[in-house]
Amino acid sequence: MPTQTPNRPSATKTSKIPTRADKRPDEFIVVASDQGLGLNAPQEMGNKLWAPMFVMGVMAFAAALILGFVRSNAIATAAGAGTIAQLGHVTTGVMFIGFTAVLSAITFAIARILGVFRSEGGNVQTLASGHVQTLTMPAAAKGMILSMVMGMMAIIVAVGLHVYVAASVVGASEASLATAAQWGSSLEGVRRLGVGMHLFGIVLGLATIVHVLRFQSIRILEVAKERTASR
Amino acid sequence: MLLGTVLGGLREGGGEVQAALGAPVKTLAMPTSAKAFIALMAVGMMAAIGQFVGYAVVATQYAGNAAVFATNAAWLGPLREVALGVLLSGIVLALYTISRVLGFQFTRIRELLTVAA
Repeated sequence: MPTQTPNRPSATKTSKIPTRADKRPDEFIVVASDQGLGLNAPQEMGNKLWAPMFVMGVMAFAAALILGFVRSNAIATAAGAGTIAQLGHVTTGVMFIGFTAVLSAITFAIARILGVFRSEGGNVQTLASGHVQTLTMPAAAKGMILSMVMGMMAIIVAVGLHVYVAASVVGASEASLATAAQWGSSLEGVRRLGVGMHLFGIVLGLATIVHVLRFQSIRILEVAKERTASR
Repeated sequence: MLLGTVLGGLREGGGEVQAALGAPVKTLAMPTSAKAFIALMAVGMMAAIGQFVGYAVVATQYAGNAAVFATNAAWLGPLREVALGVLLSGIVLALYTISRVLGFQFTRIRELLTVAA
C-alpha cells in the first residue's frame, strides 16, 4: 500500500548537546550523545532554500530565453548595434542568474539529503540502542559550502558587470561596442570559473554522501550487535 | 537517469528488507517531484536535440545569408543554455525525491524497531 511521509526531515530540538568530538578507531570523527542531534545550520538552510533557488532558476531560464528571442528579433529588424550589444549582455546575465540558482539548488538538495542522514540516523540510533554517534562535519562538506559560495560570488560579480557594461553602451559608437565585446570575452571566463566552482562543490557534496553512507553501514552493524548482546 | 536508478534501488531494497523481516511491505507512492523530474529531463533532452538540429540547419545558412544566420544564432545560443538548465533543474528534483525517499525509509525503520520492541 503506497504511503506518504512528512515532507521535511525532523529536527530533534531536545537533544543533549555533546561537548567534544571523538576519533573512532576506524578514523571516523563522531560526537556521542543520548539523543539525535538534529540538523546543523547548513542542512537547515538547505531545507529552506532548495525550493526558492529552484524556482528562481527556472524563472531566470525562461526570462533569458525570451530575451534571446527579443535580441534575435532586434537583429532581424536591423535595430541599432548598441541595442543588440546591450541585449546580449543582459541575456547572458539573466541566464547565469539561472545557472547559479539551479546549481545552488542542487547543492542545497544534497545538504538536505545529508540532513536526513544526520537527523533520522540519530533518531533510529536513539530508538535502537540509546547511544547515538553523529559524524562531525567532514572537510568535504565544508569544502562544498565554500565552493558553492565562491562559485555564486563569481557569477554574481560577472552578472553585475554584464549589467554595468550593458548600461555603459552609448549609442552605436565603435568605441563602446568594442569595449562591450571586450568585457563579454573577459566575463565569459569569470562565469565559467563560477560554474566550475559550483560543480566542484557538488562533487564534494556527493563525496560527503559516500562518507556518510560508509559510516552508516558500519554503525548499523554496531547497533545490531549491541541489541543482540543486550538480549 | 542514474538518479532514477538510485530511487529504484531504494524502493526495491527497502521492500526486500521489509519482506525479509516478515513485516508488511510499505512503499512510498511516487512523489510529484519524481514525475516532474522525469518531465524536466524529457523537456531538457528534447531542447538539447532541438538546438543541435537547429545549429546544423543554421550552419548551412552561413555562406548564403549572413543576416539570417545571425538572427537564428541569436536565439539558438540561449536555447542551448536553457536546455542544460532544464536538465539541471531535473537533477534538483531528483535529489529532493531521494531525500524524501530516505526520510520515508528511516521512518519505516523506526516503525519496525518500535514493533520489535
